[in-house]
Amino acid sequence: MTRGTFPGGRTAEAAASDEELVRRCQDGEVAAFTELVLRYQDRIFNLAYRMVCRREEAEDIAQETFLHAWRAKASFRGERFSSWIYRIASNLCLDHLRRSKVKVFSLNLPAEPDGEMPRDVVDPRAAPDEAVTKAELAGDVQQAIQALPPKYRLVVVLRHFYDLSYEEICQVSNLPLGTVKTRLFRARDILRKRLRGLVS
Amino acid sequence: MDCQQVRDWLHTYVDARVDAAQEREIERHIRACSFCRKRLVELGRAVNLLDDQRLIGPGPDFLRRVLQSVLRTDPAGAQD
Ligand SMILES: [Zn+2]
Repeated sequence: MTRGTFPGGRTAEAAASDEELVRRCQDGEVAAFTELVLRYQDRIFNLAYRMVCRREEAEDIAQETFLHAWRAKASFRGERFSSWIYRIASNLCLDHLRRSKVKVFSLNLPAEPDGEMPRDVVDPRAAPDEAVTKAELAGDVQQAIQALPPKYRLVVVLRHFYDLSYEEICQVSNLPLGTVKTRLFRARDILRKRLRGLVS
Repeated sequence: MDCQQVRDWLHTYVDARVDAAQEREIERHIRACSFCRKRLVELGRAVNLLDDQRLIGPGPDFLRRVLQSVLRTDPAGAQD
């Protein structure tokens, strides 16, 4: 519909709403899908990274999420695209964690099991000491999140990394409001205790 | 209002999901109860730490990998 209205490559896609882009995906338009990937790749990768804690696995899950979305595009109708794709990603993360349960020693995981700090956690403009402290702090927070049971972890990630409301978390997770609140509150009570030594 | 009841309310309080009456009641309790006050301070710090975490992105070739996987399963592309 808006195609061709704007000259020059991505502009036409960039002006479209998520839902309009999905409709165009449903017509098989790869350009519309590309725009959706660009819009959501950081958010989906980050969700997976916070859930599984390994960059490589997180990228695989994020890739799988978009592939799944493309294949299931015909089933999309009515709701917000973000809720729909977060739900796909959440389910893939929980499946992945269930399958790899035997390999996970969740209680004593180092901050970054593959020995890598999240690169952009360190602000290059900060003083060296401050940068180190910030990175350490980020590692401690990530470690505390990782120590949560996956179902608790998911609601914390959706609430605090995506700023979703309780109701939006219900939509993404397919859980009733009471369950979402219980999990979120319990998870944060665990985090409160684990993180209290970190800040002065 | 006892500490047990306040416990859940502290969470809705930090999420700004309480009405004005609840807010007044919580704040009155917090002023009087050092146990819940300490709990609220810790909860607030934990929430701030979580909210402060930066979004990190995938590697630079991510889009290419996604599109390759999509086109591989759906080579016709335009005719779904
Ligand atoms: Zn109290």
